[in-house]
Amino acid sequence: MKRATSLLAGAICLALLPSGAAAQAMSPMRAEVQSFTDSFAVRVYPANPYEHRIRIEVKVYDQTFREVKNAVISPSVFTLGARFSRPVTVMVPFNGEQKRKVRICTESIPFPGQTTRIKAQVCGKFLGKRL
Amino acid sequence: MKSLFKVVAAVAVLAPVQANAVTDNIPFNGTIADTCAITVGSSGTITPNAGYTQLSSNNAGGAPGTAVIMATGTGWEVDTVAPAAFSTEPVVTASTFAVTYDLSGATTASNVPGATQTALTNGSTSVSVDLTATHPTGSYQAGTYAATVVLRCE
Repeated sequence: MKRATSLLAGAICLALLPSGAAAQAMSPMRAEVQSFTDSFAVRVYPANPYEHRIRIEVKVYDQTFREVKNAVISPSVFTLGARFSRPVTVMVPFNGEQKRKVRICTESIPFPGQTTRIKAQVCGKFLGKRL
Repeated sequence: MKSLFKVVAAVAVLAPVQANAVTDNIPFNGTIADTCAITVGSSGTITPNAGYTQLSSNNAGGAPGTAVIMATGTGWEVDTVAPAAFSTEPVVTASTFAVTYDLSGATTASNVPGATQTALTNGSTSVSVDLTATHPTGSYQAGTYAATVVLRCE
């Protein structure tokens, strides 16, 4: 009983979502890029359409959502002010292929102290073709 | 000479101003990016079942997490990714996780398995996310539990 009470009183709370709301968007979310080199570049614009700043991380995933570790993202982590967007340049290597499909995702990062337990993820699909 | 100046000044003041009315168009332009935006809302809460073998937002006292997705075009899809493990738990349990979600507003759907993608209709869609964690062998012990669910729009 003590254990049960403790368990209940312990407020086993799983914060799925933050109380301090975070939001994000990104554009473009679809593009086809041609390149002469061993990699292709995409410029995306993560946006914060809301009235508070948010912390953002940009990541590159392949078609099966495995992270593309050797992609170069500049900048990859940053804070975005209210109603603001900024360009992020992403260089994706072809890895010897003639074309490569990737997802470029804008992900929210909870600020320290917030109870955020959800990661909002907005992903665009991009196709790189080597000429 | 002085009178002449006065007459000229009076004529100048009284003379009607010949203003020809002219109309023209002032163009306004705007662009809305074809994208989707996620706004996370209230926190979710999981509570134990009678046997303490599950922690779920569907149990009594539990609450789903909420979010709103604004899609400005068509072709976007929403899904969720269940956590692989608790980020906070008193003892490592190797629990299994299941996520379901409901959609209402521009897009409607009910009790969709988390990994299933649902096409979004242009407009604002409310998302309600439920999480269930199941203990692999026994029952959960007292403590604080936390995990992360990914809500994805692509």
